[in-house]
Amino acid sequence: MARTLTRDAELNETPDARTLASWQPEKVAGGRVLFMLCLWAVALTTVRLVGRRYIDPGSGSFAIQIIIAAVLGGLLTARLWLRHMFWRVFGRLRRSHQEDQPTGEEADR
Amino acid sequence: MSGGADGRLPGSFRDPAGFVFQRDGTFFRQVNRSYAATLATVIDSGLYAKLTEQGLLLPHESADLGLAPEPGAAAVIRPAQLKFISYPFEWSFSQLKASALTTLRVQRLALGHGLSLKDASAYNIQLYEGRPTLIDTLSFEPYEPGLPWVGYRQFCQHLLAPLALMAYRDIRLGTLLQSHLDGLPLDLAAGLLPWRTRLRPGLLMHVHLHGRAQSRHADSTRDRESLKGRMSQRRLEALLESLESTVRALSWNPGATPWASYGDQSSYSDPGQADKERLVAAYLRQVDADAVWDLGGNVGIFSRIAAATGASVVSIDSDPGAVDLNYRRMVEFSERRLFPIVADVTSPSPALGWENREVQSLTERGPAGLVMALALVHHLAISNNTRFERLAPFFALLGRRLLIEFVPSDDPMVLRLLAMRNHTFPWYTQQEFEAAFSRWFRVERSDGIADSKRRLYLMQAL
Repeated sequence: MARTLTRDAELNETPDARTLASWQPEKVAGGRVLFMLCLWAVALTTVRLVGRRYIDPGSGSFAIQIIIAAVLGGLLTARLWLRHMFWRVFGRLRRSHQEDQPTGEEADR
Repeated sequence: MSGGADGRLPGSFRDPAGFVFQRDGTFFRQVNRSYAATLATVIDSGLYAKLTEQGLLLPHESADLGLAPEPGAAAVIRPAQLKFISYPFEWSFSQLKASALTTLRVQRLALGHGLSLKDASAYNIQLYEGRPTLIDTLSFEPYEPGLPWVGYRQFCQHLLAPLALMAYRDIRLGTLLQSHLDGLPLDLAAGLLPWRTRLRPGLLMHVHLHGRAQSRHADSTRDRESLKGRMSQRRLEALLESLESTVRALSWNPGATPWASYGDQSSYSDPGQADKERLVAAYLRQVDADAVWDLGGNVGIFSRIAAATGASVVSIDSDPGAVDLNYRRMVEFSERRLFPIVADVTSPSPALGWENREVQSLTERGPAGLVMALALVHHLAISNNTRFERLAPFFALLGRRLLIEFVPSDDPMVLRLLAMRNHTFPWYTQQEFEAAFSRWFRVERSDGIADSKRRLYLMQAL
């Protein structure tokens, strides 16, 4: 999924909205293939189960909209979690690496 | 566009919030009491100012409440007046795409102000000042946290599905919107789209799965209340972003259609083309029309000459590629007076909808001050086998004046048209042309085009 959305500086952006703006599902945990597999899994299971409760195209649209938004929201959450974990691990590594480096003063001595 | 006895437009009856009516040639909108609080929110929240400032919503001013034609009015507003109304099935690919992006942008801004679009009809978008603009001020409702977007179905049916079909299957499928006024059924669109579109996440979700959900699971119902709390604003924003990226990814190259490159294969020598442009400009200055319809306008060369005189110009062509190029140039140069539409003069857009009065036919949207029919008459007479006696009254119906070019039977383009036909057209002569048109028009001026046997006429309807 191409992400070419231009952000509008005038748009009242919540922190969530700003996060969404930089979200690229195809780059999440294995990229486009994983994203498509998730969608197909949803297509083959959830749509049928949830959709049975709706009677007209409008209702079906609400159903699928809720599911799609949940998938997109879930992938967003997964991305945020992965990013958090990435910086937690590599941030710690980088800090310990910096602590191991001699400071300029120590190097001069 | 004319209204009924009380001035109410026949197509403006669905929305309980209000309706459009006409008084002395000016359009107004009655706002009913049931919508007064919401309209106040739209304005007080700053949404109206932001949308109009960005050219996304048609501006309006307050008008006399006494103008309201029906009881129950809380206000009457006078929207900025549109020069021409066109319909989604007449739009080129790029105009439909721009309209989709306008709708999404309005919805995202509305959400930021605690409001939401209650519908996403493509018919609510019109060209104003050269850009697609939401014209229905009453399209908003307070956003209820947790509720899905009620306009999602319409957005996919009116805008996304036709765009996908035009991009992936055939550009001419945009005309399917003419037979489906509430947008393309998504199961139909999904069936027509190539299989590879299932590999596009946006199209898989919003067209294929959406269509499947609509058509395969329809054996019970739920009310609006039961949907509350099912979708956070964050998820809704993710949905809107997904729709936007899906629309932006759709593209189409107009170079693939026959008429899009027609302008490059001019029938004139350079002096001939220059003389024709000079004569057309002189005729236009002489007429000084407010509204011009350029039939067979192609990519809009002569439409722009007309627009330069200050006229609003509807540039009509049956080729979606030429119209798309015309629209793209209009956007590129920020031209505000052009209205490029896809329509076939031999079969103009019909009246449609409830009582055949919701959507006006092309002829009902006239008459124009001036109709231009340049290098067109031989196509109508020979390709469409229509005699001059039938062409003249049709042009008189469309406009009060006519700027028409006669292309003689020995012209290379006419010879090409005649080459594959097994019967001749003995009536296709300049004398017959002038005789037939003189029964409907008075010829004001006529000039031969330099370095050519073609001839221009400026006529006034009798």
